[in-house]
Amino acid sequence: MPKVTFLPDERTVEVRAGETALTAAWKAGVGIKSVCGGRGTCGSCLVTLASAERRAVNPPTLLEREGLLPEGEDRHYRLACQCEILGAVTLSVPPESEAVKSAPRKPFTHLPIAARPLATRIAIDVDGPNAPPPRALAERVKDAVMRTSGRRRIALGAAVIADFSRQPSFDAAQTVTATLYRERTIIQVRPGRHERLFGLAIDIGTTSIVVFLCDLLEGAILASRAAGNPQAMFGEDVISRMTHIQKDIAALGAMQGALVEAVNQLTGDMCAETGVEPHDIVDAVLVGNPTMQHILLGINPEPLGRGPYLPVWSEGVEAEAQSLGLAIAPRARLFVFPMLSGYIGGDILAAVLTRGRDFYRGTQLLIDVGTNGEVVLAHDGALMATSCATGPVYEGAHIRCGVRAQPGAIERVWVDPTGALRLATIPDPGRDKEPRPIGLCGSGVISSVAALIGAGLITPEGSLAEPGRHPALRAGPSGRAEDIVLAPASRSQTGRDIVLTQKDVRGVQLGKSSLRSGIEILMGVCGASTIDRIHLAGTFGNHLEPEDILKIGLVPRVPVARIHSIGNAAGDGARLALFNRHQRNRALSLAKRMTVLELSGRADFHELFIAHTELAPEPLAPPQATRGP
Amino acid sequence: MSQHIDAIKDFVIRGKKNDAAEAVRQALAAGTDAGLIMKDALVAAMAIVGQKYSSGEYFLPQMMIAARAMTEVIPLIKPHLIGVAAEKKGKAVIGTVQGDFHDIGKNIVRMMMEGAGYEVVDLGVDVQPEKFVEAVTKESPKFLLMSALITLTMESMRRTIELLNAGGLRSKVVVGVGGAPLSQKFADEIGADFFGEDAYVCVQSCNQRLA
Repeated sequence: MPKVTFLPDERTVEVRAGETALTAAWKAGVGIKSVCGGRGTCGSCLVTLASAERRAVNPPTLLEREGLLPEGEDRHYRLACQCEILGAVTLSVPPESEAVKSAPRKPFTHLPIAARPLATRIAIDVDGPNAPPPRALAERVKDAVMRTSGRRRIALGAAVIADFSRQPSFDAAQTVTATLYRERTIIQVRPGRHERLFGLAIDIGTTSIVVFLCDLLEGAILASRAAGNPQAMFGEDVISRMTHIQKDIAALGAMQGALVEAVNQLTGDMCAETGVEPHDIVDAVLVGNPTMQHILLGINPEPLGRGPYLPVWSEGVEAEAQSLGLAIAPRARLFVFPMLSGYIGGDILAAVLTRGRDFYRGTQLLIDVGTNGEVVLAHDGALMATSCATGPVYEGAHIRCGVRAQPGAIERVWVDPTGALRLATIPDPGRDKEPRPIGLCGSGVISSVAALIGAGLITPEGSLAEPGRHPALRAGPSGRAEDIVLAPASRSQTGRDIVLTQKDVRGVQLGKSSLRSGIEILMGVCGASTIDRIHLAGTFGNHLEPEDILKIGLVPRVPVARIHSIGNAAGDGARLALFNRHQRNRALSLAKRMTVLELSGRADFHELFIAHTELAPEPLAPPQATRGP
Repeated sequence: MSQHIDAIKDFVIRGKKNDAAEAVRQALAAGTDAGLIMKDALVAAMAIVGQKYSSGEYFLPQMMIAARAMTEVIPLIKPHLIGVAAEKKGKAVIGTVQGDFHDIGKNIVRMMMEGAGYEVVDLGVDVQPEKFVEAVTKESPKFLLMSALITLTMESMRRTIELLNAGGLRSKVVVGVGGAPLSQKFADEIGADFFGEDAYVCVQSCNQRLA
């Protein structure tokens, strides 16, 4: 069994000869970016090894030779998914291939809300075994709760008493604290008086996980933690992960387990920091995209990935946290938001929840762009959502030099008055100096395309200008410009030129058109002609310049001031539903109220899509209503 | 004579459908052979459009207006096509696979194939493997072209080929597959005859297999 050591993590794992470096990385728990999920098509899982060790792996495959592997003098570049381990070897993971570990920069917005939690606590005096009439302990506990709370219908399960019966002198007369859920179900009995109540709001994204530890009585956040979604080792996007499940159902359990373990880890850290006992965390709310919610509930998400894109389960769930493996109070509840379709999940619903009732006034759009683009249109009191296949370009994936939004990622590009290309990278929190670029993140892609169109290096049709026009334009073998050098190798952190290619621009056009066409169809179906306000949810919106998305026509024309970023709205919405029972009910009624429009198979989509590929506020060649002559 | 051909070709490449139609009328009035217009103007124009698309010079709108210009003028030429010239190069059955509703890529391939002189039977989107096999039985095409845009639906291509094998039809048809998530490796693995990386490559691959 050959041993593989990964740098810079210095983790070693034994693998069977012939297993790929990517599989080895999963086994070692090393996060390597794998956009295509190991099919050898995306080129994101680059690793390097010393040339002297090149015989410890298979020779480069056809896919690698056809692709564009960088050449190194003493380093040998390989794609981890194509690189088969034959003998002991040390592999380095360059920063641009590392799966995201860090937390998003803007984890939450504080939304003031009255604390009306679903869980409540009361201190009760329980009779001893000798108090008449003779009754089982459970009956005595129930009686005391009814007596103190004045409620007649109280449910108490054997499991709750089972937990309590493990306490010393549990059978004696004493004061205990009972925790009730929705005022009728006892979910915990603990000796002594405990007043404070805590809860978790959990936001599971495809890329990262955010957990908030909250004080339910104060309606306040005590701590928050974020981490990369550990499922990244099964592929960057949900489809890659579904493909793993399609191949081997055991992957579903592995992904669910990894997710729960990550949430527990973050929760444990926060408990240690704040002194909160896991036993006092009695409620939790979870939101995610439909795939994440399915996986968390242990439901096979495969049907979400193909037409007609239906969820296996769609209702909101109140599960016992323990049954899903969450390390909080054993009988605490976990509320998982309802889902509306294969793409419109609890995350979108939670984001809409944060908008309050004002959202229905006038005509407003809520847009969440990730690997997919979800759009909700509120018009005349009606809510309609759709999902657009924007492709992962807006997350920096499938872009030659694309990276996630992380320190060193180019987030903004502009052309100065002398015509020189200038750029700004996402700062490294630990350092003052702006890091040298490692690649382009989603907002950097949009920003560069908008700036380069403005400077005439890219035409509104999306073609790169003639190579002679600007020194950054580089010609390919055909004589046409093939790419634009944003940062030469000498100035990049990767030692490679950071470029925007013609193909990248085409990807941006496809993604842009998909979103815009979806918006146009939604507006058409709802009878909306103008938009009053646009809310951009998610990390994508955080880094964007509204001017840029207007310039390339990603969204319909509105005054710039009417576009605003609402940050991690999914997590904010989860907290609302945690703090306030009315908000949780509202989430359920929103799910009933919102309708979903399926774009695939619509006759009007084709023409709109073609016309909106142009990178202009409005298409130069308006879509034709009918096909043919 | 050749200036008529060149003009038509140029108008189609630039997507000027009215100009192209006018040029075709003039060419026919001047006695230009309809078969020659088809082959040297239209088919040649679409080949260049395909090349421009492949190289990144053209994108969907440019490709689409060119294809539209072509479909505009074909009815003008058709009545004048006689005998050999009227014969199509061959028949192709095309469709997007089961569970997949993406049709833009598939439509482009269809138009490029038509532009190259093939007769195309379009089964639409969300086509079950059984439907593909049924069409192969009924239409006896030279080519079966399948498109998939989602990784999860690619497996349906494998099932279709397995069904063709089981029905003894596999040797009677050339199978081409395409779509963003596909690769040559996948095409080889499922036993397809070729992987059409884009519409242009697909038409080229079909042309090569005609010879």
